Amino acid sequence: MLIISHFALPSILLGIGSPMGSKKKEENIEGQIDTKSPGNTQVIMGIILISSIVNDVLSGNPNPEQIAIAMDQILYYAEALPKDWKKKAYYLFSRLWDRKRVFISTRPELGDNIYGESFDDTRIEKLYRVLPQKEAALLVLGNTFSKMLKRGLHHQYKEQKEETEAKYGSWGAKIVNLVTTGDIQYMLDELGDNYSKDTALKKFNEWVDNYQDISILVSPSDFEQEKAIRNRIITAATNLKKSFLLLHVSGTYRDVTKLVPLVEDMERNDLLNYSDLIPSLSKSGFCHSLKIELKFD
Amino acid sequence: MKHIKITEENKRQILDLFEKDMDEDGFIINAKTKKRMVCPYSGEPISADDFSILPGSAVFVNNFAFCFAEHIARNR
Repeated sequence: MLIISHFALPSILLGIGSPMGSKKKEENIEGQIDTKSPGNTQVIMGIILISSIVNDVLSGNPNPEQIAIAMDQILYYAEALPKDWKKKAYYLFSRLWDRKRVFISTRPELGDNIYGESFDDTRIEKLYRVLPQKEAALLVLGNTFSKMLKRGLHHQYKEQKEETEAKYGSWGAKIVNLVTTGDIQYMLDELGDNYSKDTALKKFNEWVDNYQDISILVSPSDFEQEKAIRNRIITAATNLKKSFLLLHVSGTYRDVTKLVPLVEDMERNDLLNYSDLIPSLSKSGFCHSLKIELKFD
Repeated sequence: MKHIKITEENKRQILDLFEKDMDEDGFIINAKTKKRMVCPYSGEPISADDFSILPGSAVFVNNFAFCFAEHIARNR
């Protein structure tokens, strides 16, 4: 009774399908089942219904949402099937699953964040296509984290970044930072438009290996030990790998505005000898980010 | 890409469909071999309370962002 009462629901929900089509499928399926056995009527109805859902959806050019709805319906109806028949339901389910348009999760918001964020920058997308799997995965994470930060999801960002660092160590953290800071643009400028896989990987590795001497990330709490920040800047400037040094700080407006005076003070005291200081400030939610590019002749 | 959320109501159904089960400690196992599934990206066993199944050959993974990212990069 429950199954029958839901029989027309998928077609109504999906807006597709026809009684003739369902009749034909019913004949195809019925041939595989011993209809004389007690209790099999319900099984037949369940399988016919599921088959109808799948055929209706796959007869068109379904979008991911239609596929997800149909898969959800299969789960709902298959619950009423005896265990043996669930294998048949799985076959039908797998026809939708094979479209690779749906994932299943206890925490779908996690996957939504990652699958939902494509690369806005065509140069990063091109690099992603040629890098090895782990490096490419870290570009995906960096891109996802950048979007999370822009949307003010700082707590989720922090948690996932810590998980990433625990998995890949400082090597992975550097690649993620390369993307979230936007410093990857400098690397891409050096790489140019025409490059092979080998050239891209070589340049990428060069940047990752030297990243701590190219770019310095300052956290607001670091200002409690200004001397330590100064030492990091001096060390990087002494081991200069490029004609520039990048400094980043994120936090409140009050936090980020401490960095420029500190650097200018270092120049006044002959601790730094740069030719130009180019600051750029951005904001996401209540969080401000300051990048300083120090140019050296 | 869309999702289906695993709930307490549909979890058993989903595991059955993918021929998986849970052991007494709440980890996902292969229903036939009874061996614990291991996430190919984290290398850890998979808790039935916190996992995802990713497109393709039904890859069971732990819910870490890097597992999703590695799967996406692997299937570029």
